[in-house]
Amino acid sequence: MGIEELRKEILEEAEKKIKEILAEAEVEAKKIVEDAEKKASQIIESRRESVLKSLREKERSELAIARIEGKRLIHNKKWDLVNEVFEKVIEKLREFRESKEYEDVLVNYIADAVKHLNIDKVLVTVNEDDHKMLKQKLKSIEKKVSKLVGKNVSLKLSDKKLRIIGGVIVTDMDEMIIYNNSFEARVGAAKEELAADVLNMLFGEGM
Amino acid sequence: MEINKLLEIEREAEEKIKEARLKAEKLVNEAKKKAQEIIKEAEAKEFSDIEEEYKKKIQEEKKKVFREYEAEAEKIYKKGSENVDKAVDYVLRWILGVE
Repeated sequence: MGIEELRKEILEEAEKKIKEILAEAEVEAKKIVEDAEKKASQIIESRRESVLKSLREKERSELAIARIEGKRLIHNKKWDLVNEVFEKVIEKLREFRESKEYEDVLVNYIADAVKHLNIDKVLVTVNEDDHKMLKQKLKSIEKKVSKLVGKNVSLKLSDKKLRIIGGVIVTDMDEMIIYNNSFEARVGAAKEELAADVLNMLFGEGM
Repeated sequence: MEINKLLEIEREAEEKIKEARLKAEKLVNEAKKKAQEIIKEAEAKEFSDIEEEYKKKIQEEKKKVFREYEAEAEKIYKKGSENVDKAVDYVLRWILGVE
């Protein structure tokens, strides 16, 4: 074999080797990029899932809040109507003060207070209009109260005139113990006592 | 003389292979760099389109829920209004001590 032939063979061998090296490198490079693309797809999918999960949680939580607010809206609407009932009650009480039956109610209120206070001598305080009426009829009212209570009761009309719609505030003579039977107090008590009944009457349900 | 010539040819061939190895290494390194960029881009990808779309969906659903509750509240209020007089009468009787 001549030197030229040998040279040709060596260079051909080298070329073959070079091709192999470059081909292997290309395969490796392609694989690296493909692997990265696969990994990137997984990362994107995983992050997308994570974003969606967080959005679903946000959706659940915001809708739960919306439902709570919706229920509160219904609750408030019901209580608006309950309050309307008590506002109408107050209007009716103002009208009732002008009726003939009002005096009987005052008698009952005083008798009720006397029973609760369990004393014979009481001081009765009312509003200005009722003060005029009681001043004139105190003795007759005292008799009626005594009859209702079942013992002699002495009533004294206080000089004070309260700014109340109606009803009475009854105290002992020293004003140490008080029984509030004003319309305002009775409306307040009715709100506490009858709220469930009123809700039931209006909407067919309890509290 | 011929041996020297032969050695020179071999050196030439080795040089070419060495260059090819360097080229191959460069090729792989470039691929690695590209791979890093691909991963970095994936990690930095934003999903504002999905988020915006979902937020709109949530707002719509919330509005729907509110409308349903508002309608229910109105219905309940209307039904209750029919019984106001009865309730007023009941409370009034309790306050006046009739019952």
